[in-house]
Amino acid sequence: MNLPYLFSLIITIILELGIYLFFIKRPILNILGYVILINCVTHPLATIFYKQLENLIIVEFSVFIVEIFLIKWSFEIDYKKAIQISVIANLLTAILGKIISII
Amino acid sequence: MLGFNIFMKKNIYFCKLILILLVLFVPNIFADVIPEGYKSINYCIQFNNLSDYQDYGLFAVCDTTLPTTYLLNDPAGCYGMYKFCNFKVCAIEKNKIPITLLDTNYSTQISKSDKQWLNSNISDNNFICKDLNYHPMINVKVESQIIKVVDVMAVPNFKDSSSNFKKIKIIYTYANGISEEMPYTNESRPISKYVVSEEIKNRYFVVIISLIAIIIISIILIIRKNRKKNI
Repeated sequence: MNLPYLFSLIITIILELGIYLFFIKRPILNILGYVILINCVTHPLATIFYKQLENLIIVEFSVFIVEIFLIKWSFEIDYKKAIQISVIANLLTAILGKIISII
Repeated sequence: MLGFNIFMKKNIYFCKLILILLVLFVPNIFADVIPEGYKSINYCIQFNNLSDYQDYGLFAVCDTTLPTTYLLNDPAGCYGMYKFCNFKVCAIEKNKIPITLLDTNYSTQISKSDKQWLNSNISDNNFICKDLNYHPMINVKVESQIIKVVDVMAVPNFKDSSSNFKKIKIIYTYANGISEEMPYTNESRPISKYVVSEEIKNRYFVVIISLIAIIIISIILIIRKNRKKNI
C-alpha cells in the first residue's frame, strides 16, 4: 500500500472538510462522506496526471472544474456556491501541498 | 482619500494574489540544482579490472569546481566524486609515483608535496587520462525506493587512444535492503525493474480508489434521481 499517497489524501480530505463545513449547512458526517467520495475521485487521478504531465496549473485547473460538478450534484447546490467551494478548497490544498513539498 | 484607500486595498489584494500564484507555480530552486520532486542519492563507480593494472598507478581526477585526485588502489572499492565533477581516470607507471603517495587512498589526506607532484605531472601531461564522460550524480524521484546506485565499469587500455571505459552493469540498492543487478546493453543506464513494478502497483492502487468513488457517487445520484421521480 502506498502510505505517503494515503497520507496526502487524508490531509486533503481534512482540509477540504473545513471549507465544505463553512459553506454547506448539513450534518458533518453527511458532508464528510461526500468530501471523501469527491476527493477519492479527483485526488488519485490528479496524482497520476501530475506525474505524467508535471504541470501543476493544468492538473489543478482540471480538478477545479471536475469538482465544481461533483460538489453541485452531491450537495444539490447552485453552481455559484459550487465554484466558490471548489476555488477555495483547491487553492488551499494546492498552497499547503506546495509548502509541505518545500519543507 | 476614500478613493486612495480603495485603490490601496485593491492593490493589497492583487499583491496577495500574485504572492499566492508565485508560491504555487514557481518551481522550487535549490542551491545544488536538484529538480523539484527529485532527490540526490549515493552513487559510486566500481572498476572490475583494476588488478589488471598492477604496473600502473591509476588516479581518479576531478578537474572542475572542486579539484580532487586520489589513488584507485582497492579493486573492490567504490569510487565517488563531487557531483559536478568531470570524472577522469589518469594512469602513470607505478615506478614514477612517490612511495608516500602509493600508500594513500580516497579517504586519506594527500601531503602537500604529493599534491604538488600530482598537479605538476597532470599539467605536464605525464599522465594518460581517460574521460568517463559521466557526471557522478544521480537524481531519483522523491518517492523512489532506490537509496544507492553502483556502476560497474571496466578501465580501458591506456596505451590504446581509441579504447574507452566499458559500462558492465549497474547495481541498485533499495530501502528494504534488496539489491538488483542489471547489465548494460547499450550506453544508456538500465531502468530499475523493481521501481517500475512498484510504480505500476501504486498506479493501479490509485486508479482503483478513483473507480470505486466514481461508482459510489453514480449509485447515489441514480438512487436520488429515482426517488425524485417516484415523488
